[in-house]
Amino acid sequence: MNSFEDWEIGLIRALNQPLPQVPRPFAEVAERAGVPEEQVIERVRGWLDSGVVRRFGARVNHRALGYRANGMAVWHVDDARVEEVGAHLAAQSEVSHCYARRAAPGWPYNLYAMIHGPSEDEVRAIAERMADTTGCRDYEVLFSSRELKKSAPMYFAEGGGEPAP
Amino acid sequence: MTLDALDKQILELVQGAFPVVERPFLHIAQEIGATEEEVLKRLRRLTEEGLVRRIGPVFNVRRMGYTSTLCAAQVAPDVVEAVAGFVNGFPEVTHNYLRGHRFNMWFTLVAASEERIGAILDAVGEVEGVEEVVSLPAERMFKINVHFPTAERES
Repeated sequence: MNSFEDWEIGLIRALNQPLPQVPRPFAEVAERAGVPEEQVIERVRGWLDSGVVRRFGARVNHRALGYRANGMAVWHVDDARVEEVGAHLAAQSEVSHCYARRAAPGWPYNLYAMIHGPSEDEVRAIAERMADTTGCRDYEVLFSSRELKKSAPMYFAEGGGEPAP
Repeated sequence: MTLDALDKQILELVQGAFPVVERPFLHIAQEIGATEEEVLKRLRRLTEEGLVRRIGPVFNVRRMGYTSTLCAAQVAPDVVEAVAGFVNGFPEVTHNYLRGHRFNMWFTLVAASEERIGAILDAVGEVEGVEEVVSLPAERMFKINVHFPTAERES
């Protein structure tokens, strides 16, 4: 848990907007945040070192880049095997995200892997291979038919409330 | 749009370890033997074409004091548009997809508190045509947000 100083919250708000594509982008961020450019650079680097920022960079559209299909594969795995199977799925190069999640009534699946491939059939085949290898046969692959929203989280935005201290 | 070797190098560098320095695009340019102007020109084109979505920090949600979850809703097909409009109106909703399943609307929430997540789910659950909405919070992350090497696409 972090308690940020006021100027840091101002900087986080400034970073909710995309980094401007100009020669000195952090100078513009600094202007929005009302602090010097060097302070912005130093603070962002510090957050990267401490893990407050996981990574700094561009988000790219994988679909536009030729990864034509992605499927959300969901498995129902015995609790005792979640750790082992999760580690196996995460180690596969076609998997970009892998999480264990709480199940819900009517939704028994507790292990999720986002699988990327050139086609939906190929993604299904990859999931089937994973099911064979792990022996976890209770699974489904869900494909997205439409993207309705994709945006970055807005931290400390107006109206969203403040995180618990 | 077709990408040449320089485009791919730029994509690779802006995705991975973007240099947090005064002149980041100059730094990238020097790395690949181009000018800063050329890098910016190409990057703007890649952004306009929708290949690059946004350059910025990916904060660790928990370290920010925020909480996140994945939600699945069963929405009557004839009101999907209206429900999507309502759901997407919350700034806390970061992603929303239609998927081919009984649970057909899948959205992620990043919010300041559990209470806020509960309030949003209650509000969504009361919308006409929403049969059911469930929250599926992560209990363990095995892999997160990996970027794919651009050079290996279409293999």
